[in-house]
Amino acid sequence: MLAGLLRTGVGGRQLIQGWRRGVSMSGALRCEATDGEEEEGQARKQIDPAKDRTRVIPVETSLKYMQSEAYQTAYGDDPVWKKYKRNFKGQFPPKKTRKLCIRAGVLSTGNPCPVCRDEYLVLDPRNTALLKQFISPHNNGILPTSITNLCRKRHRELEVAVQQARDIGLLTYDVPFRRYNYQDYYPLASSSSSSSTTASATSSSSACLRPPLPLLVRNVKMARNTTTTTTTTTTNNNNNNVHDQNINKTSLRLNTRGSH
Amino acid sequence: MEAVRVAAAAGLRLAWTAATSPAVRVASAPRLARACSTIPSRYDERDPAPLFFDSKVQEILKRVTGRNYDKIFRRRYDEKKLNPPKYEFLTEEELGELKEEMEKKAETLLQMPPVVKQREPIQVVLSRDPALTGFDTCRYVFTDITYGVPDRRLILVRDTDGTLRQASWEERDRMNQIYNPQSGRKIRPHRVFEEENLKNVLDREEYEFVLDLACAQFEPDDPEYQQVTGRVYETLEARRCYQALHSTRHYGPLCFYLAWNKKIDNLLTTLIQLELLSEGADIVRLYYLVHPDSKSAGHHMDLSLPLETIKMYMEQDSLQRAKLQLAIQAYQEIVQQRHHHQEDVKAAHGL
Repeated sequence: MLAGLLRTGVGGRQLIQGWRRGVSMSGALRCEATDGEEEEGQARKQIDPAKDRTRVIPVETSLKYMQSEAYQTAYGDDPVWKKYKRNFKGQFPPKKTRKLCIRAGVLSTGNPCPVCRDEYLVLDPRNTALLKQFISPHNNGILPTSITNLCRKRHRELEVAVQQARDIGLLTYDVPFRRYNYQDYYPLASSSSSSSTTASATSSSSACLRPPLPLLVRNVKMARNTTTTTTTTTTNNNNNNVHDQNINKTSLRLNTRGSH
Repeated sequence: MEAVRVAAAAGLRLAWTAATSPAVRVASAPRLARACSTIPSRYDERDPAPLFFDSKVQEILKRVTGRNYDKIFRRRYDEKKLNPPKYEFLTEEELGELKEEMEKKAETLLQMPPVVKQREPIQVVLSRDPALTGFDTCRYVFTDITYGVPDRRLILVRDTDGTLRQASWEERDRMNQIYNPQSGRKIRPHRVFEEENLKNVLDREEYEFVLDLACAQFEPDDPEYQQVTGRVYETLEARRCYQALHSTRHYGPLCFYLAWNKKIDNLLTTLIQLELLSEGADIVRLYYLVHPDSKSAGHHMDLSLPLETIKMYMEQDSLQRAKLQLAIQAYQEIVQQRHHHQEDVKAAHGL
């Protein structure tokens, strides 16, 4: 570009003088007229239609495509990443895949990743048929890029789409097991039916069943079966009493101020 | 600020967060009565807890939930690292010990989520300070994050009109999840619980998934939890596929819900068709425990004749007598035919 500027004459001289002065001539930088005919050709240059990715494909089209014959001939029953081979120097692939395949709406690599190369593969929460191909059948986790060879941008898109699909319920998974302490919900529950969590009142997983202080119901008799349960309930009571007293004090103080 | 001074005096370490107006709970779609499913009922009048935690009821519910160890110990798809299987040589005694251990582990995995009454909204106001109106554009939420305090911690809200009140249940759940996160729970509940998405999931028959998610996300006394679980139970009732929850922790609460709402007829029919008569008798016994004022509750029940128990229920209290009667008749015919067949085989062998 600099060579082009130098060759043009007036604009180029101004640019060089600008450099000597230490000031960049903004006109030279942004003016199309001074850039010359070859830039004009590049600006209006046709993008290779095979590499054009400016058109946004809606999800519904992608869903239809997944069921179409075209998809079947292209991929068969394999996942879309199965037959893709990544290019790299040496024996071992770099740990990270490329950052992105599409720049400014145009494919900018010779061997784009499995999702970028096929414009009709849209990573969307509704496109579960495509998302499931990137999820491990053994433990339901998202397959790493070392296996799928997606570019990093598409991999992030995939993670987002899978998370959204799981939020909506289109993809299911096994939820972590929730253990209950029956004593929290019904103090008279027998200790044999309660779960044997050894944690005391400090257990962060204990429930928020009883109303918050100071609405604590006091006339419920606590279970008196095992020592562990009694200690938990007593510590609970101690905490409650301290808090209750403090709250009572503060509420009194507030009331007196309010009455002035 | 008065609230801060008050807090300091109380000796509590509070963290105050400027909270914007509470997360708009997605308005649940109006619960329309559809032809195929009824509106789920919540436990909002009578308290089911004393009955549910009664030892007799617990015993029945545990017995009725099957022990299909293949289902209980199935592989969990929870993104955890997979380990290769272990093969060990064991003596008979060691094998017996291991079996007992596994039975105990199965019991813990089959722990039933509690069935309790719906909680009352919190409406406790600590002080009204109209002088503070408009002190800020958002309300402040004060949460006690002292280490060791359980989720029943103190959470107060100062509204923009100056009212200092205790936080509502939704605000409490949100704050507890922010400062004391539990696994499987989100600050904003999953969108699965919205009507449209829930319907989609239930159409795909992922009942256990929804129920597990509800257990992880909500407390058992949350109206939202009871709404979701009620909806799932009603769908199962409408489709008669109770066995989807067999050998899971949700089967007990399902049976309790049906007994509570007097809807055990279809369940009994299904059990008779599957020839699980003792389970049917257990369900009838559960019904009598939950509704002691029913007509045949006082009659003596012979534990060794489950069919008689079911017949007694059918004659006195059943709401869908015809279907149940048909099922019992069909079962009796099948039993007779089987008996005749065996007799014929014996005769043919000359025994």
